Amino acid sequence: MTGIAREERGAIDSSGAVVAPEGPALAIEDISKQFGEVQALRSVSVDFMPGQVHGLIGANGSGKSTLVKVMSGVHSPSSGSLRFAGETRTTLAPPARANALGVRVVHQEAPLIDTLTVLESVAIFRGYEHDPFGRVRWRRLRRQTRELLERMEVHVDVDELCASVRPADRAGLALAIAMGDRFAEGADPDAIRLLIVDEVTAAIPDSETQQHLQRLRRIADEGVAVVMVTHRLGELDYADDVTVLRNGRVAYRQGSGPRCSVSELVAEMVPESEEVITGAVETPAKRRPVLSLWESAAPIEVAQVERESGAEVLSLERIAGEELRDVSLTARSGEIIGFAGVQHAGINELPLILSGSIQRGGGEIVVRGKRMGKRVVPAQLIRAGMTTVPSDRLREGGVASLSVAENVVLPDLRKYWHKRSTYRAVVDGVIKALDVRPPKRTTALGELSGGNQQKVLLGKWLALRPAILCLDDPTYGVDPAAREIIFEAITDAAELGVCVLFFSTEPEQLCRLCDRVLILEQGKVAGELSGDDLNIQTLTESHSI
Amino acid sequence: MSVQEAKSGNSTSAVSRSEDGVLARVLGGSRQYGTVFLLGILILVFALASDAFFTWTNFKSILITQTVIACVTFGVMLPLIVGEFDLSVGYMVGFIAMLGAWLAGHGWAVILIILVMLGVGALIGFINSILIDRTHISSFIATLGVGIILQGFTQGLSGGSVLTADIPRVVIDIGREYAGPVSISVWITLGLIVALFYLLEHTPLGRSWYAIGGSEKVSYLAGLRTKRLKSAAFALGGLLVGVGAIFALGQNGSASPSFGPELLLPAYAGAFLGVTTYRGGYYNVIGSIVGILVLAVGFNGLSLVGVPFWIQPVFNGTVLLVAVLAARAETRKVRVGA
Repeated sequence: MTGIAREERGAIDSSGAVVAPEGPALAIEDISKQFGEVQALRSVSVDFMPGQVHGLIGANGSGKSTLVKVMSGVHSPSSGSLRFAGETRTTLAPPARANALGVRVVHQEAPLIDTLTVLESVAIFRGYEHDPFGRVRWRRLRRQTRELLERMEVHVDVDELCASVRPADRAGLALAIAMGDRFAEGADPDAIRLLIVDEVTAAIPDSETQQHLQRLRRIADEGVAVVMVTHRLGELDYADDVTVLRNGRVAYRQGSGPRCSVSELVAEMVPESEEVITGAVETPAKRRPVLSLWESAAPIEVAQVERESGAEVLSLERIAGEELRDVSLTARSGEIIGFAGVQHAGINELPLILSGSIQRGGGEIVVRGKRMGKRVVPAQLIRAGMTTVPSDRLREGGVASLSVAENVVLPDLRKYWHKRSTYRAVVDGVIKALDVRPPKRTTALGELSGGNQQKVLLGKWLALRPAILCLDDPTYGVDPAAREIIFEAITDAAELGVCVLFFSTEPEQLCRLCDRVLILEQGKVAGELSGDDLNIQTLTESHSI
Repeated sequence: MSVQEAKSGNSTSAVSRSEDGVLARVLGGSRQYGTVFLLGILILVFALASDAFFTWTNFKSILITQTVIACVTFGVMLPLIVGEFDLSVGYMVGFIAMLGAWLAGHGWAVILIILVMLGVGALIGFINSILIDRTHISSFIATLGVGIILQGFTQGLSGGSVLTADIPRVVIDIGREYAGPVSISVWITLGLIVALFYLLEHTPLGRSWYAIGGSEKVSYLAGLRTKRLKSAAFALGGLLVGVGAIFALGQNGSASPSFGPELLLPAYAGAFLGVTTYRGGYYNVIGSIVGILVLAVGFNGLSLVGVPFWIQPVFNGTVLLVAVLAARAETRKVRVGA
């Protein structure tokens, strides 16, 4: 793929259509940015050259987004300066000023309104031209929009509804809207000097990303400096220059020299080892939250439950769906199995299938020897012992308007009818075991912080003593203290014989908790890491390619 | 932090503690009983303003006229609890009353007439829920469509005139006869209130309905059979509308083709007012009854005081708006999951 991209660019160069001006479009010089106690950027210096695609990569929290916000005028740097088009400034803020200077940002979600046509959606941003009587000049608008889209090589009908535009074309439309000031008929070629694309390909299926990357290539070839923020290291084939951020510092700069290999890039992205260790300090007195929860309802014999561990509780056979093609798996009680993969690898779809939220396209689910039907509703899965904490906490996890207590007992309402004391014991057990704050049964779930909501939802399923607990990104928007409690509960649940399926995008968490991690790629299990092979380095590598 | 806010943005902003409204404090300090307080004030004011108001006869007539409204209000409240609208109830009560009168005119036995009236109510509610859940038409449109169809059937059964012939004695007695201090229909309504209160507050069925109203998706994923449960709510709502139709037929002694639609708005006003009372933020039986009484006492008192006829709708609308505004902090919370 690299070859094709380079060749195309070469053709344009040789035709002499574009001559890149001298000097960087934007030079970031020794910029730091502080938010209260947190140092998001530490003396970062990067040059973004016109005519080049510049890949910007880094792990979560590396300072990528802060840097993008400094470049687009959202944040002013705490110190340092920005040289934009030859002029030195201390800031580009506010965003309108950055925009006027010629900076454009394209985000992951295309700014399209599904119920409008492509023509109307573009016109909202580019403006409607009207005649003296106030009538929109439709014919001219249509022609101009067509020409703009043609120039941007976005092949959609302008009268098509945005809802039916394919993801790659949506991204193309977002680009066309952003770049309109430069590529529309009669536009000033200097109107836009810097284009920042922020993880745009994350929303596009793998098969369609190339088309999009080639568009970026062509925009760069017209003399624009393109900054490509990405998680997929494979896309760096389209980049001329690469910068890696780690902990707010530039960890690697390719510059004009040759690029290091992908695995070396990954090594640069991974946070220093001592930082990882400090995050995972063992708590001195080991808490057994799940055990105490289960004991609060009725005393159980721990020995017996633990003896059962190792029994096969879940078997997936060739599960297929929209993104999943062929996932098979045998899970035993007491195991913590991690799942990793890029977007659209099926990592988002599998938990939805396992919770009964969507139906699978094919394959078999066997829970504790019980084969699930072709169409399976959540009630059947739950009865068989399969429970899921979904990633969308308030849309799928819990009812925001109901109290903590009502959310906890929701899956098992009948059990508590006219059994006030059991009801109280279980709800108080969840609150105490998982340290829900405030420790009240009557608080509405929506009023709790993200971390406490998650504790309640975890407790809701743990209270059922499930055979399998599936967790979809359980620490999203959860504060560090709550995260530790959730991890404690997960570990304890596994020790008590629960089989845990753990879906996460964070390699650190997967390494710390899981016995083994399955790597999903294009809907299939591409590999399994366990034992010594399971470390942050190997995971990050398989995660990003 | 910013990531967290972005993802849970909806919820956090919606439930962020808004200061207690000034109106709330004016309306009786405790937000939960603002409407009860208002009812007390209205009774006091009208008792001072009119001699005819504070009499047992007047109260009896207020109560008896509110039984039909109360049943229709329950008929809209149950769908509201599961998060749907039923706009067909006005036409439904008219249709069922007309059906009863038509069956009576054709010599049906009274027990059959009553059973058919109740059963048809439940059936229409069930059909509404099927339309909503199987065809995914919005409940607004589906129930409006069903309502308009019912209106056609009402006209058809009536043949364009008011049916008065052979209305069974039993039905008329249920509507008009007194048993002790109040009429039979008031006793039945009281019984329904107690039964509904128990059902909604203290049984798994009621709790699952509220959960579905809070978030149908979450309830489904928690293992509730949401479609069946919603059908049950609609069917029970329809059945209660059927009870209201029996009362109406008995009280009027006849069925008019134009009866019914005018009950829809008062019923919704009652249910919405109910959200402000007893269990703040939730549709509930006690609150709805207080809401209905506020509107009824206002209506009755204003006519006794002799204000121009056009003041009454103005009063009703104002009460609804003020009460809902006053309880806004509470009602906002209820919207979070919806």
